[in-house]
Amino acid sequence: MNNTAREELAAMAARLSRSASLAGLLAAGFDVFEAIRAWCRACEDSEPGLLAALMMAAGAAVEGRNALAAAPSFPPGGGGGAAGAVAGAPGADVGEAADALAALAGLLADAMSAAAAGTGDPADRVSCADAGDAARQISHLLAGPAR
Amino acid sequence: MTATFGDFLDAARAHIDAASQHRELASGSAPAAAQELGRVIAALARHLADVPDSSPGDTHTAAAWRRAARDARLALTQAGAALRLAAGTAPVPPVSGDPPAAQLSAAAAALTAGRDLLQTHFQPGPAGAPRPASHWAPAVTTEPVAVALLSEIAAFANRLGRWSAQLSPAGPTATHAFNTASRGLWAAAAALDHTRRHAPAAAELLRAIPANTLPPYRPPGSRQSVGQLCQGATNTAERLRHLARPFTGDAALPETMTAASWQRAAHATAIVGHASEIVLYSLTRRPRVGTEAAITAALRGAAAPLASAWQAGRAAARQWDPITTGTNGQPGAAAAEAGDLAVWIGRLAYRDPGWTPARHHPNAPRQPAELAAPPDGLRTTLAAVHHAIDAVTHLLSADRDTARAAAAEGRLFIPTRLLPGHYDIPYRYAPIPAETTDTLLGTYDAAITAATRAVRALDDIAAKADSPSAILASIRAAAQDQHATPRVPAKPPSARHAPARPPRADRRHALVPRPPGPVETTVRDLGISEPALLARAASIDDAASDLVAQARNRSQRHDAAPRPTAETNHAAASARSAAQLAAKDFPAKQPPPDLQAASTAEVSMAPMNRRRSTSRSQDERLGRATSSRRT
Repeated sequence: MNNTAREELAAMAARLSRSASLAGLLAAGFDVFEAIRAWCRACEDSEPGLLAALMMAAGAAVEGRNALAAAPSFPPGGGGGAAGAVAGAPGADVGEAADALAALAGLLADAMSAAAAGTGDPADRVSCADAGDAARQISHLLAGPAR
Repeated sequence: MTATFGDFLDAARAHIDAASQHRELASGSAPAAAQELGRVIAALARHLADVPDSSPGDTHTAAAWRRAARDARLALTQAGAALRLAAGTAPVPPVSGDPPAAQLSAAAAALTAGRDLLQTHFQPGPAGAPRPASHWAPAVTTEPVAVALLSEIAAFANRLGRWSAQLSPAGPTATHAFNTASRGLWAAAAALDHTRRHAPAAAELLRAIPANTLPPYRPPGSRQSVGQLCQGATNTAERLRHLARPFTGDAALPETMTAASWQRAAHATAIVGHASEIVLYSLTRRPRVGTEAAITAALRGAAAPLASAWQAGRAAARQWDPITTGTNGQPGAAAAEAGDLAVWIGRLAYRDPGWTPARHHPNAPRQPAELAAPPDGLRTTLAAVHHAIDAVTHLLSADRDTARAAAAEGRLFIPTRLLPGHYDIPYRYAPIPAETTDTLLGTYDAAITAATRAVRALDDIAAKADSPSAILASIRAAAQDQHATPRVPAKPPSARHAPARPPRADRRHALVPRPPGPVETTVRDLGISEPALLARAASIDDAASDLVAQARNRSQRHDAAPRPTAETNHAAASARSAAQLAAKDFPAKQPPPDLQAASTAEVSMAPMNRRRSTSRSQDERLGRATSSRRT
């Protein structure tokens, strides 16, 4: 995994923790899901043994992203934000990058669970819970074997 | 184990043979025997009545056997009438100790149940005509299978005719009735005589037709043997074929058909294909036995079509990446079943007994000797893969049709956050561009083509290996004509895209996009393709159309009756309510001068309000739909 990718993942994790408002967190979560999706798609052909995991993780990222877009507090419009929020080239070690993304998805799941618990709007709560489930699924799919 | 038509044929034959052992009827038992023989004959006649009369488009052969079926039915009807005289008017219950009547009663029940089994493959269409309800349906109606059925009926008629003629019932009335019935049965058998030259393969296909019922659900378990995995995969594939029924457009698109559901199904298709490729590769490395070298060559030949198939399935899944229906919820039943199938085939392909797609499960392929263990390992494993690829091909086809319907209904969107920066759309969703729809459907077409090639390669291997799944090739051959014609009329690429307008109330007509109205036409003529603008133009056209319809209605009402009805009051109230609701979303700025200049405020504001109201309420609808699944 190259340094650029590492820095981008760190920046996304920081953005998640920095988000002060629900709208900001939903937008940040949307971008993280989209980055995970793009990364998984880019790596699908790198390692045949990971094909199924990467495809399913990309699908879960799409579902999590779309769950957030359905939240009433999700900021409308804003085209261009997510399109540019794609992690850099994953580099040669797909396994290492998968570990890093599994960790990022774990952070995302925690953030979404906290947001679901903290919001008063039932529809926002459902969206955050759905997104949290998707993030947990990504983390499960991409996490490496126990050592 | 699902019952097949052959089971009922065998049962009927056994009971008729048992009845035929009796050459004499006990005193007083003639009415019961006549009644039950009449029921058997009626059951045979009902089978014949299912054969349509000949039509001008028939070939010479088809016209001949259709005529034969009609003639045989008439002969059986006469035989039945003669027996009713002997049976009397009141129903006679079969008495114990009256073996011929009891055996004939059981034979009639078996023949009736067999016909009911065949009918499960059809459902009433919009005009009452039967419509296929399973992937077996085309095989049921194909000429060779119909002729094979006629041949079975001829054999029954012949057997019963011979018995009736030899029977010695007490009394002249009964003797006359059974003799008349015998002549009718022989006449029927003679009319159908030439159908005995049917193809043996068609008889096999006829006998294999199962009841069209959903097999019981079997979740994948861990630590299962190869045989159990094959059975599980085959069962799940059958369930998937059942659930992935062709979309006819008669009913509304199910709410469970969401972007997530379509994408999960396509991902599962890709995983099933990928794992199947690994299974076939493992089978090529099994110890070769005698004539099985040809099978090994065929297995190698199937690798490329299988690889193309799963890659095309993955391409279809990728097309859903930017698309949302705004509702997540649980996936549809077919998508969930496809996910199970991926696990069954994955566990067959890989050594890990608890394999799932997750990365932490090792992906070491299973040993070839396990997959092809004698005596039937090779055939059973081949059958599982064959069924799996056949089922996902059906799934892709069904999903292509439902995706097309969703696009036509305007149910596919893209989150605006994914659009390039120069789009300034103050909503969370925008309708997907027409070219995205075209690409999506085109990718499905390619995936179906690739999967069909793969399944045909497997048809060939199954035939070579004498696998139990070879029957799939026979069904496909019978259904070939139907598959060549898309179930939902295909549209040219330029017309494939969703009309940029809200879904119509009557979804039955949603597959036929309405032509653009005058405002939308003008906007399109100006070279505008932006979905939001086109949606706005379409909304204006809709509003104008509604207004004219309302005005026309009011005008007719004035002419017809001076007093308003409850219905028109409701319509007016609805219109006012819609306008008031829309006005809440109207922007603070003044409407453009061209709209201000319109004759009334209601006329000028409604289209713009409606457009905003539509987009906003769509947004809200999407949010509600998502939340309602969980709450």
